[in-house]
Amino acid sequence: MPVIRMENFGWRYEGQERWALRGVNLSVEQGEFVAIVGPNDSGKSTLVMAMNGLIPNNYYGVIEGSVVVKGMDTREHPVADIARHVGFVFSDPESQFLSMTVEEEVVFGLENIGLDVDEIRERVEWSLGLAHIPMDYLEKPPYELSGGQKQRVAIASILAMRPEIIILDEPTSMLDPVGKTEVIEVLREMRRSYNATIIVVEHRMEDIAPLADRFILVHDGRVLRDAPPREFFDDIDFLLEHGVFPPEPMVFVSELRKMGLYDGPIPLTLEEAISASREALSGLRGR
Amino acid sequence: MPKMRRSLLGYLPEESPIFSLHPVTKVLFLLVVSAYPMLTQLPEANLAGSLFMLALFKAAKVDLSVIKGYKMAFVNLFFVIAIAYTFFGGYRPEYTVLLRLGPIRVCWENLRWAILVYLQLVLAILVIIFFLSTMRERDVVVGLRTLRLPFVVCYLAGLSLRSIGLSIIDFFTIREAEKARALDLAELPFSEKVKKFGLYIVPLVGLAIRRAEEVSNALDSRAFRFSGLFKGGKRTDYIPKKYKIRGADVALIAIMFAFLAAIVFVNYQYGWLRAENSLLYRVRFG
Amino acid sequence: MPSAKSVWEVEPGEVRKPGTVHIAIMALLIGVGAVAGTFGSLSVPLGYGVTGFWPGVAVQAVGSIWFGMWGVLAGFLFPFISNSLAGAPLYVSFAYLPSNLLQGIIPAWAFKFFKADPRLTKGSDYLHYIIWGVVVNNLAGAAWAVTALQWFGLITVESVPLFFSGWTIGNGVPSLIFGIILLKALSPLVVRHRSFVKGWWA
Repeated sequence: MPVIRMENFGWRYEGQERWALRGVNLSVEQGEFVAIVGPNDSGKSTLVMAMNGLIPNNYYGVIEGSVVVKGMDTREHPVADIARHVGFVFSDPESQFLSMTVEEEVVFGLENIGLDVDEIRERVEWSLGLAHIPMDYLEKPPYELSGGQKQRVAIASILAMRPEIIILDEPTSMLDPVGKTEVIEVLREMRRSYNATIIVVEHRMEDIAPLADRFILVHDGRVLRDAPPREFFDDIDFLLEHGVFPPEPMVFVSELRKMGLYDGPIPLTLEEAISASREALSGLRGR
Repeated sequence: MPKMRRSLLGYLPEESPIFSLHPVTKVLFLLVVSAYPMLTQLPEANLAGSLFMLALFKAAKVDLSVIKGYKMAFVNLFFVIAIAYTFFGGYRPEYTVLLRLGPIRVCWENLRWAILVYLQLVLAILVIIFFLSTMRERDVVVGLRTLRLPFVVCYLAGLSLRSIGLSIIDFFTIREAEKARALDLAELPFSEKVKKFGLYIVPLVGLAIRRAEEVSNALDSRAFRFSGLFKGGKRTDYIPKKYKIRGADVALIAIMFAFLAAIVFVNYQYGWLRAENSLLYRVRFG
Repeated sequence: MPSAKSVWEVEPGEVRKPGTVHIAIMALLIGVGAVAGTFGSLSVPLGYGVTGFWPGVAVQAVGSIWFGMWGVLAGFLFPFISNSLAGAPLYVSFAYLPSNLLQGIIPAWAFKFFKADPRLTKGSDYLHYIIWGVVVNNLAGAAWAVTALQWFGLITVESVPLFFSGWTIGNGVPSLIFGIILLKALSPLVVRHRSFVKGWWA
């Protein structure tokens, strides 16, 4: 049974003529790692906000169809109920901090759901460990940390609630390159050691492609493509036409394929791209 | 360099003894000790109180430059009170005129009252500076929670204090943006500052409105409820439970209230703390 | 663009209830108000937190018009912080509470009662703001404040006009200038925002 099911879902924000999303049908299974990509203003954030009930609960607008998360119809359940099952990490780490120290930030959600003190303590240690935040940061104000550390604290505060589904909406978009790498490393760690459903809106496809089970392309409010990574990136021109810029090694290998120098699958990692290029070059030498 | 912890008004060394006190003691300190000068006219008592406060600053290892930051506020206050009481203080025939400036008579009785009021305020201000210098945002929340205020009120207090920090950061960001366009408010005369303040207040409020949406989404996404209850259960007070009310807290709270009771008693029973008992009332001219 | 009446009118079937966005906006207004208020209190101090220029009042008046009781409460509370940071004693701030309440609740009530448009689309909207958000609210606030200061024995009867005029002018000028700027610049955005309050709480 899917943990998230969207049926003919559509959303139009109040005062807007254009539908932010329309006719979306998709389901997400437990334990899947789903990457959502698409150009700016295509409806990616609206899509993920609909998955934890922020839409329709926290925005004015017109809704079509339904979203059911862990058996809860988002039109009938407040976000606070859904939050028990779905964690949400926002793009701006600063704006999601609700407390004055790292410790308060991480325990905030745990206090809200009424866990006992010992369990809270244990979860704080576990989530900070997973997010690579040292325990001696507990007393620090989160807004005094580096960008990457801030976002990792935000992730830890969601992880601590141990939701079955974690949504990350462009978690690296406001970070410097070092911060981006740190956050991606935490995503890798989550993939390795935490069996949750992970849904990420992310532009850094080169880092996400090896982790993801599925890629979803959102364009102009519609889901245009929903496929496993290798299949998703198979038609690079289609992606480029729809405002998605795949990693350059993929584009390079795709060009080799168009030139008839390579006929294997599109590589998902740099290593795969190198071996595909070698294969193409060895073919050239043989001619 | 000692390790520092951020307070509402700067930083405080971690070894400050103030950190061993429960936040509720500090909240009660503000509420109770602030009342002392309001109930005490005797300037000698308020002066002694101010000296005691300075000793307290020292004992708590508060950087005294914090008080220096208020130097202008103290000086301004003195002039305002002095002017309000001497030039606008009124005149009665029995008053001793020290100086005549046209129709205005500067009288000793008015000046004496100005000194009395000033010393009351100095003590009250030192109390509040001490509170701000030694409290952290978390202490305010824990203190209020310990006083059994509803969770939403305590949390709102914490979030408000945090939003001051955010507004200050926004203010500096806007200022840098204005500076980049060759406008520096700090360099302008006051009249220009007033005119240009609109350039700051609109983005400040605009950012606050935008941020309200983000904060609200973040609150909901972490199962926040107004009542502090989750599905009929009770919200856990994890952070407040980390603090323990110790003997020193009980003793200090008892002393603060006992002192307050003593002030009320000696004031209303014997009038010892009234202005008339001051040495200033023995000063005679001519 | 909705008419002035529709800004305040709850549509049939429209569900409005207080939410976390109101808690957030209240806290954030306290932050902005405290910063604006401290700036004013430190710039032209007249003593006891009274100042010749207090832009915090614009946040009180406009915040209350936009966000109803959440704005009123924010305007009621933030002077505690700004006065404290500027060096006013705690109990003087307590004494000002009714003034701070009046300075927000009067324009909020007037805009709802007279159905004035916070976007200031007509001359009468400006007039309502000037009457209720600049003159009446600040006169009421000043009247209470000087009465309280006198009760505390902090000012003499003779100095009442000085403090009364200081309060009225120090609040009136910024609420006139910044209040109109804020309403004009941000109301079109705010009335569409989910934090906008049509009644008193939602």
